[in-house]
Amino acid sequence: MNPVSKPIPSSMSGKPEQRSGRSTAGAIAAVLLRVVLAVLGCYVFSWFFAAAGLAALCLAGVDFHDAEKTMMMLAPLVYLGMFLWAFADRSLARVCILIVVGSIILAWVARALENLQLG
Amino acid sequence: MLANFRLTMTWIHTWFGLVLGYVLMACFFFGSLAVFDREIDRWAIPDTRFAPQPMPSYDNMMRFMFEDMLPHPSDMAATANRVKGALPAPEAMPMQTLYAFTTHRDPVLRVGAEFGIPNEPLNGSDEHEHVHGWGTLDPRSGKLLAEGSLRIGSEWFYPLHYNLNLHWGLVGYFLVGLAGFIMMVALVTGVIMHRKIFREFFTFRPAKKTQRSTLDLHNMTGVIALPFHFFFAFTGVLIFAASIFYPVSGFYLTKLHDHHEAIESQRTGLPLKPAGIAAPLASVDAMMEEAKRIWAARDMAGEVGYLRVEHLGDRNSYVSIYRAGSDRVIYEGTGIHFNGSTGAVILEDPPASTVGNISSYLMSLHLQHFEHWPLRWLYVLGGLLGCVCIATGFIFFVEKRKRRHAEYNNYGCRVVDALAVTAVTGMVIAAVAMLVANRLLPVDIADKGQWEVRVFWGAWGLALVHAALRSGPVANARINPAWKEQCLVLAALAVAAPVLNGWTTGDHLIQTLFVEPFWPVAGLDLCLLGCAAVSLWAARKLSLADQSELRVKPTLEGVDYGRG
Amino acid sequence: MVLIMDKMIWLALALCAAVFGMVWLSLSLNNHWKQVFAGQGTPHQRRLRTFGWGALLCSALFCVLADNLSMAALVWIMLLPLSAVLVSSTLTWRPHWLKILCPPFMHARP
Repeated sequence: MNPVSKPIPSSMSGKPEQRSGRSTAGAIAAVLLRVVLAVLGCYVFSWFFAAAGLAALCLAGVDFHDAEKTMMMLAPLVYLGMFLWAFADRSLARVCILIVVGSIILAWVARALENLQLG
Repeated sequence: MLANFRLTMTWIHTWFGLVLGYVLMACFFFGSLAVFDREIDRWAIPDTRFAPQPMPSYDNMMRFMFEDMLPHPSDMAATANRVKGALPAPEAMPMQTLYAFTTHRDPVLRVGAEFGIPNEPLNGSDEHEHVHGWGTLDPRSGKLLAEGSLRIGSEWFYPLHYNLNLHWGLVGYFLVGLAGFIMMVALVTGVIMHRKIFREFFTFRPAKKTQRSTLDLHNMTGVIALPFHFFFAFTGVLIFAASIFYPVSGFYLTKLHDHHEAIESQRTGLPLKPAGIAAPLASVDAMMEEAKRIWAARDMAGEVGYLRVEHLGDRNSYVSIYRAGSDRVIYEGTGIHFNGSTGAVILEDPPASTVGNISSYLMSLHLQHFEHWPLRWLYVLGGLLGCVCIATGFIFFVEKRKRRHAEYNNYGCRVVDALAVTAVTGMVIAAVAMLVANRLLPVDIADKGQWEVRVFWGAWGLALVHAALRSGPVANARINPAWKEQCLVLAALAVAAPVLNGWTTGDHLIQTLFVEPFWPVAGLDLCLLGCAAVSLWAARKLSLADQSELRVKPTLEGVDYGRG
Repeated sequence: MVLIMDKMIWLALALCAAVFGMVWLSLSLNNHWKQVFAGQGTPHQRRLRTFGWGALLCSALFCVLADNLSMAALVWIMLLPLSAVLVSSTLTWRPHWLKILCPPFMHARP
């Protein structure tokens, strides 16, 4: 077992206990926040990604159903990629900001592109 | 999140896999059973043990059955709660829409209708202004089958694998959807964790320690069926993506959707509303013949799978006839739409676009409307490999930790192990107990299906209680005796089911294999006997393993984390 | 009926080819070679890999002869786990059986 991974098994067994310089409660809260961001935040992000993509493809002249099917195939894969990234990224703040701001921007883009097409 | 990328991926794999693995286990196991759902139906409803039939004549048979069909009392009650005022008598409601559905594996057809009501809905946004009626048509007699019996395969095991038969809104769908997504996550993270994918592709070493041989089996079953696992998880999510998981056009871009829908209905020319002028229906049999001729001319000859009549009895009525997709993977229907009163073709569905074809190939490979028996069995194999992969994942989790947990008096392993027993042997016991109950309950009991469902949940619940009560030895780093005991119970049940089937229906294996071969029943009987044999073998192995564990002194040793 | 027989024959050939492919690929791995033939490792790793992948390709071809292309792709993908399970269980419990499936030019020492 390599030395870098030594503290890991304790958190693996479900009790992220006494790690120097960091409170247990804080560590648990950080993990929980990341789980919520990954499961719900990334889902919402991929949801609005599908919406924005659908509106953009329609604007580009793709048939509505084709556009919808394309986005339905892409959305779960985007969710998958985002989910893994949400855990892999070292900075929790960056994960938080990118997911929240990204979702809002995508939602806004989808609505704007819809309005553009309906005149 | 953790010290390095691989450890983070290991953390995700372990904890998400553990939490959603229990749901996944049910999806994979009941999904495997759903591959043969129609055959399980035949076993469970002996009255329908005859060969599959093509769509019967509408003019000479189905018409009379539909004339007698009434709104279903259960839907009458549900609708009464949703609308203002009292509903009219069921006989007075006009039938507006009707349908009939069959596949190449169905001897009996599903039929149903929608009946119009004058009542206003309580909720203004509710567009549901009709009551449904439905039934199962026996094409030999032209009569509906008696109600009350449950099609255990297609009405219980099949929906269980995509919504857990939970009827609290969409909770079941979302749980399964999340589990399917986590399956994809677990596969990607598993590949990242696993350093010797190719070198250990074929490796299973049962002679090694339980922890190592379990991991071997976990890796092997995961890797060799990787494309199956990934694509079934992905396509399973995809099937419900547009309607449930990503209903973008229904909930967010509604205006854009409605705009395109209006353009489309102009293009197809299919009337959205009735004209209000009565007109009789032309010969539907002639339309079915014409549809078959058009398909043959388009080089896709086939049988009728789905028939639907809209605006019945009105001048705007139209008849849509769809293909049964038994000869190809893609189940696209290629509908031919006829004017109901003249019988003239209004519209032929155009060939699908490239994107449409890719998307429906992905979904259809999961839905399996095609006729290909070897491939069906290969799907069952894939599903069962998935079950082995998930189950060994649980066992590895426990094996890895049970010594340490025993040392620190941590109950984690006990709980995980008891739940694993419930999710593995308990689940199979529940399914087989349901089949046994199906043969033991009297035929004429009013809600036989409901009793079978109660037996199913009851048996599963008992398995959980039993596994929890017997989990003591896990706290001492030993094997939970519930594994072995439930294997023995399962073996007994799996022998009882085919015996009871032979006894109550006369379709014992000699009859269904040699005298008058009927594979749906013979196949399930043989699978049950196979299941009994495997459980007995497992029970024997488990007692040998427990004895040898008693001899080995428990040691605390460094754990080989993340090595796969 | 003739058509169905034909199809079953092609599918059986496809399964056989897939099993051979998996056998040869597994023998190209030193640990499995040792299980079957003892010694240090295979002297013909490249040859075994080429023949292994070639057999899997043949299996795909037989699948195409049995069904239309879209179906054949599925059948082939699903035959791979089946043949891999067969080969790895043989390696676990009866490794010497695989000797028969490995022609001499693939295992004789040069």
